[in-house]
Amino acid sequence: MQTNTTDVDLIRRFQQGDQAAFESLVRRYQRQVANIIFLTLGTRDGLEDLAQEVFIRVHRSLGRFKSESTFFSWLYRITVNICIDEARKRKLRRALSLEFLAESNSLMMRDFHTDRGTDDHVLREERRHLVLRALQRLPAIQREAIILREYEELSYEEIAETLGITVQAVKSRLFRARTELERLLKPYMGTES
Amino acid sequence: MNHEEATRLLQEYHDHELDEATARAVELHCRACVPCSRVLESWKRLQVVIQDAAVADLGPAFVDELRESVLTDRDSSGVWLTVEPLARRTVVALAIVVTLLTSMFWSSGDERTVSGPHAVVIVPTDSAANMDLLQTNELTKADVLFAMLGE
Repeated sequence: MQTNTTDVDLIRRFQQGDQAAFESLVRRYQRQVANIIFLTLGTRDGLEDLAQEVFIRVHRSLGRFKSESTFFSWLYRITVNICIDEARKRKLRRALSLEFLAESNSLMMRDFHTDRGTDDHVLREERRHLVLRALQRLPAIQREAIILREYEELSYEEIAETLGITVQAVKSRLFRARTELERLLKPYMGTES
Repeated sequence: MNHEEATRLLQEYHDHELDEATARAVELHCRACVPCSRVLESWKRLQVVIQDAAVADLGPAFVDELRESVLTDRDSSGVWLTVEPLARRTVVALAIVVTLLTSMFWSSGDERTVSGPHAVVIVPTDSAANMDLLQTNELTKADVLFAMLGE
């Protein structure tokens, strides 16, 4: 119904008092926001609350939003900041020990070799967990960049705008993130093809 | 394109950040280069598994729940949000007025006295003014002559 309406149109309507325009923006971006949170934190715990926090902050500030940056880069910036705060609170990095990851890896590989095709759903879930855990092992600045690139498929320019860094820094973070993810997921990546 | 050049541009090629001609040159190199094609293949798989892991979605009731939360948030912070710009301007204006009044108070008058048994007269010292005073008090030859005649 409103698929052809641009973000700018919706923002303008909201600024003129149309609450339905805000809800259209929420519907348009709620999945992306949910997955940025999910991939960043690696868990569904508190997902809805955090997504609500994102959109409440958007609602508070949207009246003053000026189209100097794109809406989604502004929205993703808010999302990433909330994720960083939340990750600090949860102290995720401390909880995710090397041993735990190694254990997941070996479990994963065993399943991959012995049970291939017998329980695709379980296997796929296991793989997702492995990828999520590998993402958690990255430094936050690399994780943000790789999620915005690989999941959101943003360009370097858009990632730079969202994260407030240079394009060169985006390239560097992406390269390091990829190198580290390849290292962490090597056993799985090797058997995927 | 040699291997070093291709390696340097590989990530941008993978991310579709190169112009058409350069992308074509990297592509041609990768067709013949096993290490480069392996890297590209690995990055492609990485993208697939990350996208595959992104399975989160918010329930259909999310927008309704958010609407409630937004209303609650607006009720609790509505007054402050309305007042905030005005309050900010008022604080800034008051700060300017106080600064001006303070500076006027301290600069007004050459002497300030404190009454009471231990009254002190504060005479502001001003090196430039003292220099003038010294210069005006300096005796000239005429002053000495008039003094001698007077005696």
